[in-house]
Amino acid sequence: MSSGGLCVLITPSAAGSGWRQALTVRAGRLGWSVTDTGADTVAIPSGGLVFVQTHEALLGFPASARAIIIDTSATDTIDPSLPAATEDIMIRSHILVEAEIAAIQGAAVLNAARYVLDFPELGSVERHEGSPYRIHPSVSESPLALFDDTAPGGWANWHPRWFAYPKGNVGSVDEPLMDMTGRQQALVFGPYIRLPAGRWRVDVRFSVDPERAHAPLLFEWGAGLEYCKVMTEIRHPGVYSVSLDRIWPEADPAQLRIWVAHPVFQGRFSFLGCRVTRVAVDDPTPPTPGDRIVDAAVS
Amino acid sequence: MSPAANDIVDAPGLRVARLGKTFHGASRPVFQGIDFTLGRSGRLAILGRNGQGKSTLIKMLGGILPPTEGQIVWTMSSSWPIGFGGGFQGSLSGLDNIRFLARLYARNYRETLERVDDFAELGRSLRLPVKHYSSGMRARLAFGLSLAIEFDCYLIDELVAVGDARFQRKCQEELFQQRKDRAFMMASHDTQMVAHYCDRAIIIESGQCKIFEDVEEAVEIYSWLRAA
Repeated sequence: MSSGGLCVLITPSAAGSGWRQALTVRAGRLGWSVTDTGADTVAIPSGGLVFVQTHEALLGFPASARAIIIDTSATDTIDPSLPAATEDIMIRSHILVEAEIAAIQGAAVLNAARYVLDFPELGSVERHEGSPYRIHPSVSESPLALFDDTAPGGWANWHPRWFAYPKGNVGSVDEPLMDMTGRQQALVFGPYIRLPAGRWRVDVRFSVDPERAHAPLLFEWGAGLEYCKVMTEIRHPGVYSVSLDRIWPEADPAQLRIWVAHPVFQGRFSFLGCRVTRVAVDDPTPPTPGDRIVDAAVS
Repeated sequence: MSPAANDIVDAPGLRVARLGKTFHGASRPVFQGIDFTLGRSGRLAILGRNGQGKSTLIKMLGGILPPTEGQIVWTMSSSWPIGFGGGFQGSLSGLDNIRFLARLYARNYRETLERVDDFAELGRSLRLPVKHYSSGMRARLAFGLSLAIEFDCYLIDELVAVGDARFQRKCQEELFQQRKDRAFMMASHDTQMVAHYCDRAIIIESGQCKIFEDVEEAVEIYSWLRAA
């Protein structure tokens, strides 16, 4: 055990407050400071026990001093007596995605349902209170295994900050803005977030100003080498949305890619994020056929 | 930093700032807000579809058209636009025009004549008034004179329009090989030539002007604009 520090992200869980208390007590005995940064990613202490809500905040600590505490059981994560339990999970899904990214970046993944956990730097810690939980079979795989249990209609919003922008961007973290000038190129890709097997639809929101020309855009949605595609040419400035869906035969990291389909002299593009929805495999709405050209709908 | 970029920082030969042009009576500018710097060995392509203002820009840089707004600051000598024969006195012969320009640029007339005659291959036609020349003959005389006088920077407006294939090869050899240390700006539709000889490019489109450090990228964009 060292005197360095530990950075912890706790996903929504009935056991979350029990772990928070237990860790705070242990840190206090060691003389560590305890900080809860909330959603702040700027003022992160470099030592002591730090509770965070984003994967970026965890990066202030070495991988060996990062931990995420997850609960992949939907019924235990949210009070099932609440009428909108599933929707509540979806609304909180951004924290699960943060945890997923943190796990990919090397944080230790710990199961909230257990009574005792071995934490990096702090060693063995016993949870303060709470009743026993069933241990979800896929707990060690991903914080997003929670979605394995969700029914069609469940959805999650994917924020623009989880995506990569190879050309860079200006604007805000909520609305990254890109100059489209240049070759055929990717504007946005990512976020490689694991989706369980099933049919998943993405509704992409974006704004475009073609600057009196046209903006040729190609959207791709899928995993590995399998993507469905939609190509569109936008001639008027506005906010648009495009929908694509595809069947995941097995759990796989999802990727959305948005391209400028051919070289352009002008135009500005802003990505507003997307909503990912589980769709019944036998849903009568046909999946988007590959390479289809459509007019984007103005919302 | 690349050699061309160093050249721009260490020895800029031309600075263009907020340059714009609106013709008298026109409601919209041909272009505006052009900013760039050219080093003493910089090679800049000027790309744009017909009517977008390539030749206008070249003429402004050559001092033939005044800017409506902005500044052009030369700290190296520049040629008149090659391919442009408008600077000649039409009633004077080719020989007299050579004599006039040799005096104007303080060059030795005999040497200048020898070099022009050798390059332009106009022979006895040099004794005729320039107003009787074809456009090709005028371009050859203008090109020959600009090479004979020697400039730090050559302004080229559609070089390929001058003469037959053999003469075009001769022009390219004189410009791009014999004078490879000089700067030039070239307005052209010939994307192969631009990609081969230039290290940066400007595209003028719908009154906007953008500079590209990657000439291949500029050529790709320009090719799509032409095809649209």
